[in-house]
Amino acid sequence: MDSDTQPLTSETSVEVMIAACLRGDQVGFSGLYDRFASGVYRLCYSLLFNKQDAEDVVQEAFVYAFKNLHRFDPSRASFKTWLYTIAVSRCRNMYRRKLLPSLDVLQIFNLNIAAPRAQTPEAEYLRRDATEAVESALASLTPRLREAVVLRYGHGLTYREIAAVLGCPQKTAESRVRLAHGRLRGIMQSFGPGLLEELLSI
Amino acid sequence: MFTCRYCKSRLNAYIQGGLEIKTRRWVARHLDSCPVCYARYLQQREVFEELSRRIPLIGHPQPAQLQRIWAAVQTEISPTYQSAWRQHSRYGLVTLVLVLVMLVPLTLGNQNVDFSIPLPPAPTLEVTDTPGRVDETLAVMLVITDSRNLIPDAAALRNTPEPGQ
Repeated sequence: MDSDTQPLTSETSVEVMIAACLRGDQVGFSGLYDRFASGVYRLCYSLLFNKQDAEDVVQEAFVYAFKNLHRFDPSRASFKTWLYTIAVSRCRNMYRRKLLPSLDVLQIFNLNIAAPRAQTPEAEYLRRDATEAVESALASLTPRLREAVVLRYGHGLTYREIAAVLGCPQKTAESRVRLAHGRLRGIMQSFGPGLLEELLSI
Repeated sequence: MFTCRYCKSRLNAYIQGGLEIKTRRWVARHLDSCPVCYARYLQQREVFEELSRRIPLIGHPQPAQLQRIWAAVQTEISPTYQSAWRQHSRYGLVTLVLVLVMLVPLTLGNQNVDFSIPLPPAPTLEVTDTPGRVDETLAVMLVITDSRNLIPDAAALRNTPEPGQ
């Protein structure tokens, strides 16, 4: 079999896939997409909270990345960090255009606290609500704080990587995560013993 | 109070394991001795664990969604190849047209095609000796005449006797 057309497995390194893409091999593009699409979508959805917008941004981010793959410099950042940088930039454009409406967190949390406790058949419903509550709490943050906290907790990026993605110093990334963490704790505890206990009891 | 404030500012890094050993030990010792900071630590740790558990669950895509996006990405990136081909074919077409234009005179049966713009006849210079000034043998008078006057009539030329005759 020709080495150019070898199928790319999940173990194939990103560098090999990128090299395949640069040769014009379609298998390289699909390999990179399969590897990163889910994470990029989660990131975009966590920042935009809209499925259609997230899909549009994921598409834009991948198209841009694939068309500009020759510009990617592996010595400066990993492909994941580079791709996330593109995605976050597109998300910023999107919520600049749409001016993301702030949600009424108080109302949503009150509804959650009124829900039944864990041992009942409604547990699954409540679990889903708990995630939605965290989602709503995230939506109440400013975009900069939300980006930092989503990258930290949702994608496990290091502070250095977060700084690279957000285009800010590492200390700024750290303080944004700390601030976001504090705000989220404040939001959750302001309904306590409600939400936090409710979430933790599931 | 200062130590509590110092501890509070480092709790997040302490929970996430981002402190140096020396600072980490200091925070741990303070948490053992201060119930207020310890309570804050417990709350913060719970929030940290909750966020670490919940945020990754937000926005998990359906396979159909990813397929739809991939189809759109493919159509977006394929025009780059198509446009490259189009670009090449465009250059080829232009070259072909140029070659055909250059071959047009040859195909017209070697007919000379004069594309020059007709100009009025240019004035010419005539050098004549001046018969009245013998001592100045090299004196030259430039007479500017119309070229039409210089062209002799063919009949007159025939009637003009040769210098030796």
